Amino acid sequence: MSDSTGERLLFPRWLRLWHWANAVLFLTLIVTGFSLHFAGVGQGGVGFKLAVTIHNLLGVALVGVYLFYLGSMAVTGHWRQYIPKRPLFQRIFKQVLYYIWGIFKGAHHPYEACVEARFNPIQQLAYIACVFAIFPLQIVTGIALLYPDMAPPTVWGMNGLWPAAVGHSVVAYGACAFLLVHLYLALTVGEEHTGVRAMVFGDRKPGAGGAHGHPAPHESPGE
Amino acid sequence: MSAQSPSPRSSGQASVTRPGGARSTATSRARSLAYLIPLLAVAPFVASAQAAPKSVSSAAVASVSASVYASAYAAPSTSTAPLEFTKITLQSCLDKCHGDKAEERKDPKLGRKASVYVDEHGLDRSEHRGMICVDCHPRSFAQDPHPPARRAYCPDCHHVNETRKDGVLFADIISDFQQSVHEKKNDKFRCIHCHDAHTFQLETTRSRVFEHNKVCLRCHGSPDLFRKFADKEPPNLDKAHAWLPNRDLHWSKVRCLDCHTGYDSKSSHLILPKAQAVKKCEVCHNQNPTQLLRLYSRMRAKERAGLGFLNGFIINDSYVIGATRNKTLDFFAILIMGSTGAGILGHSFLRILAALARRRSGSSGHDEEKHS
Repeated sequence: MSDSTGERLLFPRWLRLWHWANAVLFLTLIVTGFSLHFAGVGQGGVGFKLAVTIHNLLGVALVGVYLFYLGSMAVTGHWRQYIPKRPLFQRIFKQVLYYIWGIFKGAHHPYEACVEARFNPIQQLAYIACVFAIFPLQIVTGIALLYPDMAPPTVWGMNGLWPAAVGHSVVAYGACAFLLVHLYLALTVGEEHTGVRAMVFGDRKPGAGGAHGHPAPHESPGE
Repeated sequence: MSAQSPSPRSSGQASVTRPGGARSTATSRARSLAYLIPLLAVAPFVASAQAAPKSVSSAAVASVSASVYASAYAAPSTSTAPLEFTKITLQSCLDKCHGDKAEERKDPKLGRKASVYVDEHGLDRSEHRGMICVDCHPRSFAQDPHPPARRAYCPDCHHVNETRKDGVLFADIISDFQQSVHEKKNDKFRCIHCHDAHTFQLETTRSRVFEHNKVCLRCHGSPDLFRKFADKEPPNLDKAHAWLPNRDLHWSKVRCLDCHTGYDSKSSHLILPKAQAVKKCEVCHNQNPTQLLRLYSRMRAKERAGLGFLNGFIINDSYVIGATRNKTLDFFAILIMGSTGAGILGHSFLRILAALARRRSGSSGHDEEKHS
């Protein structure tokens, strides 16, 4: 996708739409999920019955949004963003070094986001895990909790629902930790054209390719 | 009365032989609780239940009610020799007539034949195992076929000051029952309307939820039987419970009593008007689910603590959101999130210090990078 000047946006409209829909659903599901998990503990959170209704509806909506993302990835070629680049370990090491040392010295981000490579190496690995493993796991366990009759009657002598429940809780806790790190990096590390502003307005990077050595491959269709 | 050791009768009418060789005597006890056991009014209800069109649960219910009530109306037949009363055993009654599912006798009150079958295996699993027929039906056996036996009279054994095996005082049961909507709306209800003495088990786990709920649905699932007590149509249970998330799952896992006996009843006998039933989800979906725990009142000692689950003993039967969460998982998850937050704060702090240091030295990091 490009803007009115013909320049390509760092984050095309469909990606921004997905991101913010995902964010709203994600946050609401965390709040209602905590209200359910810690029901009766203290006075905070949403009432149990309301939390059940909201959590169920938005959980299904999140699955829809996820499917939209998969479809859009396939159509636009965004899926290529998830293919790790070589040399993988050196790139990861460079990124880690930036976070633990370079960032304090005011160094440039080694892999600043650009149209062709929106993720840095660590982001790339984290998002591969999120999109292709953790997210599906959360959906499967969520479906099991939404339709408990589908769960096996017993697992290891316990009710068959508890592995799904524990798995759902583990992923939810992981999602909370991810959210903290994601917000921190987006709000404080992202630069003018690659941070929160870019995710709101799409923003544009002059010319193709990044400022730090990303070659300019062929443009992805639909972007 | 304990099932394994029935209370000895104080004054005897006749002695009988028990299966294990123990002896007891039947008694006529002070009838302080006589109002609880009217008994003779039951037969018409049974007749209705068996004749009525099947509704929600009447099919499942009819077989239970038949075994409960019909045996007391066994009418004479002409083919067998009388049992000698002093030699009556459970087996002799079962062998003669009551162990045969097909055996029927004319019930003079019903005006038709009714089953006289008693489920031996159900009796053997029940709280009354070890007892014999004449412990509760202590007369009318001098001739065979015997005339309708005297119905069981619960207070013969269950005294007001007696404590049940799970610690509930019978006085509390009676007190709760007197305040219940069943007793307040009419005086027809008696112990045996809900408690099948031939199969009653005190042990309550998920596997027995169906058995418990079947008792309620016997009337609440059968318009004809319901009208006998309430002179009105039963409420539509589907509609009345439409507010309940995962309604069918709740019905299969939770006893009617757990919600319909209110927030603070001592036993399960204080049935409340429907408007006062528990509707607050957090009562069960809670780390201290008092209503839910009543179902497991005899299992709490076996709580599984090793895996770190709250109310771990419930896990075998059901995962209950809010009630069976894993404390260990919660602890480590909160620890990890706290550590992440602390790491972020530390990283931010160091970045601020580094930025201040760079400003003091008058250099920008990017310049240094270029020069280097």
